[in-house]
Formats: sequence, structure tokens, C-alpha cells
Amino acid sequence: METDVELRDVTKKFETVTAVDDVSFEVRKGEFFSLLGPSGCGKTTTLRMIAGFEEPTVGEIYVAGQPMRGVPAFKRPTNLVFQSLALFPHLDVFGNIAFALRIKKLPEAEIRKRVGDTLAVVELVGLERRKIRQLSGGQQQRVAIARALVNEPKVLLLDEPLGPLDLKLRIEMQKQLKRIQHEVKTTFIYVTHDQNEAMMMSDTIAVMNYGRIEQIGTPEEIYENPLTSFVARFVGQSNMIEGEYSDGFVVAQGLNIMVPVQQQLKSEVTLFVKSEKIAIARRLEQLDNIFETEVNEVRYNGPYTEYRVVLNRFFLNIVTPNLKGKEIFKVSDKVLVGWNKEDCIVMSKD
Amino acid sequence: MRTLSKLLDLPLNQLRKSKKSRTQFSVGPSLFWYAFFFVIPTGYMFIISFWRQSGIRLIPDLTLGNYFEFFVNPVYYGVFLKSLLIAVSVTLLSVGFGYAVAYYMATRIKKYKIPTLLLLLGPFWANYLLIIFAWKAILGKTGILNSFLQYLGLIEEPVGSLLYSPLAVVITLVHIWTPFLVLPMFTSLEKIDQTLLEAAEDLGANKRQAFARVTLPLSMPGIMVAVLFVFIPTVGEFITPLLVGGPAGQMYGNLIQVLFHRGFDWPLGSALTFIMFMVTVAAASILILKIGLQKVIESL
Ligand SMILES: Nc1ncnc2c1ncn2[C@@H]1O[C@H](COP(=O)(O)OP(=O)(O)OP(=O)(O)O)[C@@H](O)[C@H]1O
Ligand SMILES: [Mg+2]
Repeated sequence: METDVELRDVTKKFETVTAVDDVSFEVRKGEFFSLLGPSGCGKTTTLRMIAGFEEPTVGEIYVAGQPMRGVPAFKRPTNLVFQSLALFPHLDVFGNIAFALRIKKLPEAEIRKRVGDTLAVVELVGLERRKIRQLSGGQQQRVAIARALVNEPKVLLLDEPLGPLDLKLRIEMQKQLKRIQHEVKTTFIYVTHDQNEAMMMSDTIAVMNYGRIEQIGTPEEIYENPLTSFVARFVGQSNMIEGEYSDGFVVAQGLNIMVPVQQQLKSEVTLFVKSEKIAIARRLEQLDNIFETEVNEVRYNGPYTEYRVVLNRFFLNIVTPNLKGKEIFKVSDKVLVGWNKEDCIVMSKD
Repeated sequence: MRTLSKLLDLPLNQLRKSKKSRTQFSVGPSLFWYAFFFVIPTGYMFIISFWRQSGIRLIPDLTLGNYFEFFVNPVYYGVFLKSLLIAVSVTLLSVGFGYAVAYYMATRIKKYKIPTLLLLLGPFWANYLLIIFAWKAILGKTGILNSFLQYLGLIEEPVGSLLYSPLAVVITLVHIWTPFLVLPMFTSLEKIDQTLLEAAEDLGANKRQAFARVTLPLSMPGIMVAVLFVFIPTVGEFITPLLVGGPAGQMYGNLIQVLFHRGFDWPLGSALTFIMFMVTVAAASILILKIGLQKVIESL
């Protein structure tokens, strides 16, 4: 597989802050690659270094095999969709999208054709003459994407482009973005702090924290097999239990929890169980860990119900789908909760 | 008189009926001010521009002779064209210079922008007359510039044509106007979102192209306001040419002033004033229509 973007030991320092700390990754051609992480973890800085607005303090960035150090932004084969969109208010939709082509001094007929084609991809045909402020949020988003795409960049960089949209529109735009990527087959590097968004769209996710990459993998790998406690906490909704490990068991607050046998664990460990991996019922069988408890809190939200139960001294959160005919418990109902040892992720406490 | 009161009555009645009358009534005093100090005197001048003058008596008439005089007498249209030329030069130079300073301040200076701006413009904020006399001292026959050039041995005899020339008028007026333009243009440049320039660069524009395609169009309303702000009063300027212009540097305003004061031909003076008024109003309207009233108001 051809590599389109590579970061090799890249560090970026601003005076006292280290915004990006020894980051390395490779993005394959045509891949949808996401940088996922909490606010301030260095996502925008990483993207800006690829786009050419910041130079790495240490390390090297390659785009399409070429080292990028010293190459100014306007000469790089990348285009960026800004977090704030940064559409030109003095130009209409057509003028915004045609911007890069006019800089390249292409013949007007070709500009019209390419802008027209791109408008079709983002489904904005007919809005050419609208001013930017006469567009809805979702339409502006698509103009920003079209403006970058029309340039046929090798790599499209997107900095939380769906940030300010409401949930419905976000989901709609996520689908559109996937469709667009499928059509243009450009490499996408997508920055987001929304794990659902990253999982639904990406081929590969890099989880970042404090300027470092914690884990790189497919959405499923990241979700099912987190390698660090940060990833386990950040991705998905997990219950975190601290205890002591010995011989395939974690002892926590007087409970004995069966977990997979693991070498190289210290005795002090943290155990994670995802909320949706825990079963809740009047009767449970054939699970490695089953405990009696009572319902402490119920939050019904349509397709799912979220329960909170007390186990000895700690709480467990459980999310369970409201399948047809399934009983919805009430506060103080006596229930059993249980899960398999394979659903436990155990890590040495750091 | 009755028709006038009728005219006035009509809107007043409507105002009384209107529910929003409070806010509308507050326009009253400024309307009165405008009528009393602008519409009435201007109207009076407009009327007498069709009259004739005999000796010191004004003769009510309805003649276009005064306007005709402007177009046949090369003194009048000649000086008017020269005034336009001076006004255009002053406008281009002061707006260009002010824009350059404002642009430098807005983009190159990172810290202490406002104090630097005030320091830079401090010497420019001198009194109008002080600036004029300063340039007299610099450009005069025994002035600083001549002495300096003589000291350097570049000239033998002092150059007399520096002061009392159209050039002196242009220099002095540019000096007077520039500081008033820097601040508003600086503010309008500061308002431009820097990520727009990054976006332009990302799309392949180098610094110069980004300036031409983003910064300049976005600051155009501010520039146009500055142009109007300088051009209109400069066309009718008369104090500066009076003091530093000499015979060759006399402007249209001086002609009008002479006609009212010494020549004592008010009808001709009024007609000349009206011609200037129409030209400047036309120029302003074209500019405002071109950039849109909304944008002009926003940039104020
Ligand atoms: N130009 C700068 N000067 C100094 N510090 C900076 C600069 N840009 C970013 N930082 C710092 O670097 C760190 C990473 O910032 P960055 O903008 O990359 O975060 P982010 O992951 O994009 O966050 P968000 O999700 O909030 O957009 C932050 O601590 C930020 O304060
Ligand atoms: Mg960011």
C-alpha cells in the first residue's frame, strides 16, 4: 500500500507548551484517517503542521514521499477545511470554490466546469450565486469542503468540520462526507473530539492525549482492545474498577471478578468493563461473573435503558437495548448482573 | 406660506397617529438643525445662482448666465480642473500612505500595537495651522529644505518654487489628512479574520495574491470611505492654498471665496459652488453605489 502522509518523530513546542510530543504515524493513500482526542491534545497543531502553517520543532513530515520541511503552505499538495470554515465573505459560493483555480490561472471555461462538477459532488448545484451569509450551516460546511476538494489535493485535512452543527445535521453530514470520500478517493485526515464520529467514518483512528499518540488502529481495535487506560476511559462508556490481580482474578471491594489470565501484570490493576457488555436480568446463567444487586437508578432513552446498580461499594453503569418484550426494571428491583471474563480489560495501574 | 404649513402638517399628523411616535419625534431636533443650517442656506444659494448682480445690488432673475460663465471662462473651469487634480492627488497619496501605515501596523507589529500607533502618529496630530506654518518653514526660500540642499551643495541658489506651488498644497494637505485615515483603516484591517489569509494561502495563494484577493477587497469599503472623507473637502479647500499655494496653487475654493468677499458677485459665486457641489455629490454617489451603502455604514 502506498503511503500518502507520514509523520516521523514530530514534536512541536510553543515557548513553554509541548503541543505535539514525538508523534509518528503513516496514512495510506485513499484512507480515512482520524485524529481523535480531547480538547487541547494537539490535533489542530498536528494538522496545521501537515498543511504547512507550523513547522515541526523536531521531526519530519512527508507528503506523497516528499519531505515538507521548508515548503510553504501554498506549495503543498494538501488542502485544509478550517475549524472555523474561513469562507471568504466577499465572494459568493462560486467565487469561493473557484478561488484556488483562479490562483492557478486556469481558463475560465475549465474553472466553470470543475466548480460545477464539485458542486454536484457536494450537492449544492443552483446555489452558485449565493453569498456565504445566505447559506445554512450545513451548506457552508459543504462549500468549505468543495473549496478544498476542487483543487484536487492529494490529502484533504479536515479540522472538526462538523463541530458547530446540531446532532441531526452532523449525522447527515457524516454520511455525506463518507460518500464524498468514496467518490473522490482522496486521502482524508479528519480531526475530531467526538468518538462516535471518528468510529463511524474512519478506516483508522489515532487516539491522542497530551500531544502524544496513545493508540492507532481500526475503530474496532480501538474500541474492543484499548491498549492504554486513557483509551479505555476515553473511547466508549466503561466501568472502571480498581483492584488487585492474581491468577485470573481481580479482587475489588470484596468481589472476586474472573478475568482473562495475563502475564506481566502488576498486582495493582484497573479493570474496565464496557456498559453494554453487562447483562441485567432476573435470571442469568453461563456468565463468568454474576452478582446479585438492586437497581439504583433508571434512565430510559427510547432505544436503550441505562441502569445504575450498586455492587458492594461501587456503582456499575449498564446500557441495555430495549428489545421487544424485554422487561424494563424499576428502582429497587432485585436483579442479577453479569459479564464474561473476555469482556474485561485489565491493565496495570499507572 | 400656507402651502408650507400644509406640507409640514401632513407628516406631523401622521406622526401623532403613529404608535412609534416617541422614537420618530426624537428625529425632530436634528431635522430642524439640518433644515436650518443646511437646507435653507443651500436653497438660498441655489436660488441666487440664477440671479444677476449689478454693482452691489442683487437682481432677482432666472438666468443660466452664471453657469454659462463657468464653461466659457477658462479661469473658472481651468481652476476647477486643477482643483480636481490636486484633490485626486491628495486623496491618492494620503489614502495610500495611510493604508500603508495601517497595514504595516496591523500585520507586522505584534505587540503594543495601539501605543506604537499613537507614537507613530503623534507628530501628525498637530493643529491644522501649525502644520501649514511648519511646511512654510520647511519649503520656504530660506527654509530648512533649501538650506539643507545648499549645505549639501546640491543647489547654488535657493529654489523659490518649493513653497507657493501646487506641490506645497498637496504636501501640506496630505500631511493634514493622513492621521485621520490611519486609525479607521487600521481598525478595518484588524477586523479581517487572519484565518481567511491562511485559507487563501492553503488554496495556493502566495502573500501578494492573498493580499490582492482577500485583504484588499475586504478593506475596500474602509478605503472608499477614506477616499470620500478626503476628496470632498479637498475639492473645496481654500485655507491651505491661500497660505502655501501662491498664485499657481490657488484652488477653486479660493475663487469662490474671492467672488463672495472681494469680487462681490454672489450669483456667480453661488453658481460655481453649485457646480462643485453637483460634481462631488455625483462622485460620492457613484462610489457609494459601487460598494453598497450597507458596507459603507458597517465600516464607519
Ligand atoms: N500558537 C500557539 N501558541 C502557543 N500555544 C499554542 C499555540 N497553538 C496551540 N497551542 C497550545 O498547544 C496545545 C494544543 O493545541 P491544539 O489547538 O492543537 O489542540 P486541539 O487538540 O486542536 O484542541 P481543540 O479540540 O480544542 O481544538 C494547547 O495547549 C494549546 O494551548
Ligand atoms: Mg483544534
